[in-house]
Amino acid sequence: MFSTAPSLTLDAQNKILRYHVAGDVISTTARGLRAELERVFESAPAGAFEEFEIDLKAARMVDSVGLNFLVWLWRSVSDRGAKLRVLISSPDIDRTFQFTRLSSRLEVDLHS
Amino acid sequence: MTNALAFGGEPLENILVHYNNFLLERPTGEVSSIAVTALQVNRETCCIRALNYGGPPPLYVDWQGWVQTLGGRASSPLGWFQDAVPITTGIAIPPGPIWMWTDGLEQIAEELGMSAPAVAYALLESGSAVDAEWLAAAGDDILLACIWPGKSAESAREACVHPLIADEYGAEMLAEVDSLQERWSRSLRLALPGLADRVCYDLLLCSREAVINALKYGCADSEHVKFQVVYDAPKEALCVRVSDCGSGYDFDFDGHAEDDLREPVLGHRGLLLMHRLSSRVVTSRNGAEVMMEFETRTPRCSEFENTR
Repeated sequence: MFSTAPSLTLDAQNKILRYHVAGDVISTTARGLRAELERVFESAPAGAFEEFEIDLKAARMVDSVGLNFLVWLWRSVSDRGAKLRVLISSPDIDRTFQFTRLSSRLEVDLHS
Repeated sequence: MTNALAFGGEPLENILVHYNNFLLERPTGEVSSIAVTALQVNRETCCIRALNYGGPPPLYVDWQGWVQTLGGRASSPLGWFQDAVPITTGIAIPPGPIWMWTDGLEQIAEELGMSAPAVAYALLESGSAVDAEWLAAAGDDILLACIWPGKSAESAREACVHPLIADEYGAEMLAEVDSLQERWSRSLRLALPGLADRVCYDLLLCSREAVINALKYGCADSEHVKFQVVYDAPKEALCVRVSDCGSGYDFDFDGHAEDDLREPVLGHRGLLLMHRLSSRVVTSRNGAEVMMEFETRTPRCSEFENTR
């Protein structure tokens, strides 16, 4: 079993690891999120999940540090042979992903 | 009394000295004081002189678009001391108006967590129909004036560049950037209630990036970063200016942007956002000064807009 966080749930049947973020992914929060996920990944056995789903529907803003966090997350998840899905509800964040072409690398689901 | 002396040809500074003496000569034990800011406009020489006794310094927008103050705050009001000395400042007549207000406006702005120029703009825009609920929280009288020193009183009011935020932050404010952003947001929402959400988002995000950069890399312990937002009414655009005391640095933005297209890069992503979310970016002093423009009428349409 690997390290868990209150905001983390594992769908063992579908091998989806879901991570819920309660607010913005910005310079003042992104480092804490990364530290938490580093602990999770370090303790996760190979093949523990095939998809990592990060739920950012509560976020109103993702700044440059937040975008860097997502690039890091994409690399970490890809290195494990899994795919990354990002759930968002803000059209502004969606636009930022498009401007920075992150949407071409990440699977982004915009929920209105 | 002041009017009578002025019409009698008494110089402005003498009138204020007389006024100070008048207040000081009140019966013993009765302290009466008043903050006074006076402007003397000479249209022949195109100069303005400001004398300030304890009032908030007047604001204007200079020819480069920066918000400037006429003098500082380190003066006492009339009626306190016999040897009261005003802060005296002289400038050339600016392109637009000069804004002046009493400390009652600064108090309510602080209570609301907004910038005083944004509150001033909101009040001036509401004209004589001021019935804002938030104004009920005012603990003091508010007197607000917008004076066009370059125009006669009969001239029609023109669209101009309005200051909305004119702040300075020390390096310690880096940890408070979330609350600064909240203050900017509240100020913009009050001043421009019809501002589109996406324009507000772009401005706040780019401002956050620029201010963080300036505080992190361009601001030593005792130095300050200037952060200003003005509303350019003729252009229907919001203009953000950020300036730090550092020397800036050489950065190949175009090369960095190309690298990022090939493979998402870590680092300098804030600069990419600033260039892509604003309609215009101008840097000077090697990047230590940044100006970003955001159109308010028709938000910028991106080449990526319809790719989803």
